[in-house]
Amino acid sequence: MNKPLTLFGLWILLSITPIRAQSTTGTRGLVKTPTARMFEDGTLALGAAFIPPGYHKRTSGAGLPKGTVVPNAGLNTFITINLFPFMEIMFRYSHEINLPVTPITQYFPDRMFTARFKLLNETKKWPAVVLGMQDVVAFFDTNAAGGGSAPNFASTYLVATKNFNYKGFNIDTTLGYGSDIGDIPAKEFRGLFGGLEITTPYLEDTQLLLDYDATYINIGVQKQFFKRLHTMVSYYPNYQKVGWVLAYRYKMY
Amino acid sequence: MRNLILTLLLITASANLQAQCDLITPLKNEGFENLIQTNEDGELQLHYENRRYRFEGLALQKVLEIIADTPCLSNSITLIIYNKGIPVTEIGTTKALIDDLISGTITAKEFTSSSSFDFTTKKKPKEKTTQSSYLKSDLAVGARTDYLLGNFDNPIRWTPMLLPSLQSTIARGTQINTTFGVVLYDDLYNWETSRFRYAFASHNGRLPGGIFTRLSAGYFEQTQYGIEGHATKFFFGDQLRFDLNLSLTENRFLDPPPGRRAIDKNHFSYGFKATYRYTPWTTDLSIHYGRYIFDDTGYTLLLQRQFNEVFIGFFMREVDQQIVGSFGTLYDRNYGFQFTVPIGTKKHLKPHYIRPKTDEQYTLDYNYTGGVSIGRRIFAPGTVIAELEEYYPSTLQRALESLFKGR
Repeated sequence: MNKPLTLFGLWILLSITPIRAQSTTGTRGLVKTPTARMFEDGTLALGAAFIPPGYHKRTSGAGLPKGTVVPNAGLNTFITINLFPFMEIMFRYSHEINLPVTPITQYFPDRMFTARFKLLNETKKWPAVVLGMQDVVAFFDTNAAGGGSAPNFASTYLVATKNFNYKGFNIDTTLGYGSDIGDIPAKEFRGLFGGLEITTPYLEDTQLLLDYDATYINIGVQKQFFKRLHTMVSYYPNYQKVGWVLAYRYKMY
Repeated sequence: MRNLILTLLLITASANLQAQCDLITPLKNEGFENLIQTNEDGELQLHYENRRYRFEGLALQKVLEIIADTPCLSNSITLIIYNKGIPVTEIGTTKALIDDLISGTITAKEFTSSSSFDFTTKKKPKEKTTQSSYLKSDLAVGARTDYLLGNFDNPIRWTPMLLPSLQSTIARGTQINTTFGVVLYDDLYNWETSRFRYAFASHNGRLPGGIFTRLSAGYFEQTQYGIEGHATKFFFGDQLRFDLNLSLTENRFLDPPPGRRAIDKNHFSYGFKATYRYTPWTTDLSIHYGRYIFDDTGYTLLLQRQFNEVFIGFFMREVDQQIVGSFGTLYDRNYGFQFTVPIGTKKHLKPHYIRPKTDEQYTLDYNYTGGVSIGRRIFAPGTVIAELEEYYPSTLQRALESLFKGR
């Protein structure tokens, strides 16, 4: 028996509580794409996402230009907070694994700040709508272009999410659009993106995630343990690689 | 004759019920201090100070539970909450509401909207207090982390330290705080040693008109040696707050590390701060303008949300000095965030002449665009003004709503 498959099966079977998506970017979302869902007011999530080799991009350093896909894996470590009922913020460090910080590499992990604002709550007819500003420092930092904080993951997007029920299947559908804003080019989610979060009537605690992040298609399965520990295994068909997300979630109120 | 007997019986029964309404004993047993209970015109007043529970909201929950467990005739109840012997907050409610809250008949939201929460204008009654908090000392241990990011030779330079402290309330409003920093590791300063961080005495007061005041003298963090004063006034409950701070210090060590000397004289700093609190979200928007302790003049904008004991804030500073960030990058403004989280046990040992305990909060600032040495102010930890947010009417209301949630 394949050991990884056995472990994967065990992980599915051990799930005991309802789950909610936390994307590899650190905000609420699907595998990678953001959704218009938000956690409850006062929720804090502390976590890490493993980005497999061949998928992670260089953010700084000598040698390769920024944005080049590197053979090293990446690790996004993040803290996400629903500061207000309508606002989610996220601070993230993106590390390139196996690339030390030295004067020779000139590499330093990328830090990024994201703010998301709920514009509309979901109604019977209309979807929830969120405005996302990813790597938001570009909006404030007048020296960003020349300094060490040039945005690597900037993106401004509008995303809508609507929930449907069909024969016991719960389907959360998401569609969004990201673009450049002024002088700030979108580095991620440029154009149309979207995806599905599917809960089956057979495994209510398990959700299947499928998304298109405006560049690639990603697949994932997620679980939450003890109402606080969130896990997701992601699969990237283009590179046939596997990643994961592990996050601890805590309600401050 | 029959009426007279009935009247006498009623008076006796009433006296018995009043006698049964002893809140002092259970509160004393629980470790509450500066306790006074008065009964006047059918109104029960209970004055208490909490040093047992880390969070005032938790302490209030316990007090309400004790009141619910105590049979009292008086329906009208006023709680006056103290800090360092100074009356700070007042809650007006009824025994019936407290009973309903504890039994789950009503929600905490219904309780808080039917009761009154405000800063108190009441003075301490003349009655003798039970279990005084004076001349008792806490030996607390806290933690602090100084750090700097952004250097290729050493990407994270940091100096973690433990902060053992001795804190005592000497008399009403008067306290001392001596804090020593035990350096665990230092690759940030490369000269830092274990030394005194604070050694100051403060007098806290509340002037007529509800103005909270503080006057401190001694040695403060950031090697500031001198005196400081602070006044705080609230309007519309806790919705609008004005602060004025003044300090006259010199820059020097109390116990200098080997080979280091820091002396400059007559260093005057001041500041005005206006804060608006949006009470439903216990969120403060404030602006502070002034001259800071390292001779920089400017303003700090802060948006801060309070989740009971957790504070998360985002700030922007602009001063008349150049702001240097990572890799020598120069910035016009300093952006960053700060958070404060509770540490240690939720419930401390009962206060005694000497009580070991864990410190209550851990604070960390993150300066996104440099600027660690700008916008600094004198901080006097453990004083009434420094701890006021825990006593805000809206904080206590929100705390009850979250503590009683799901009951």
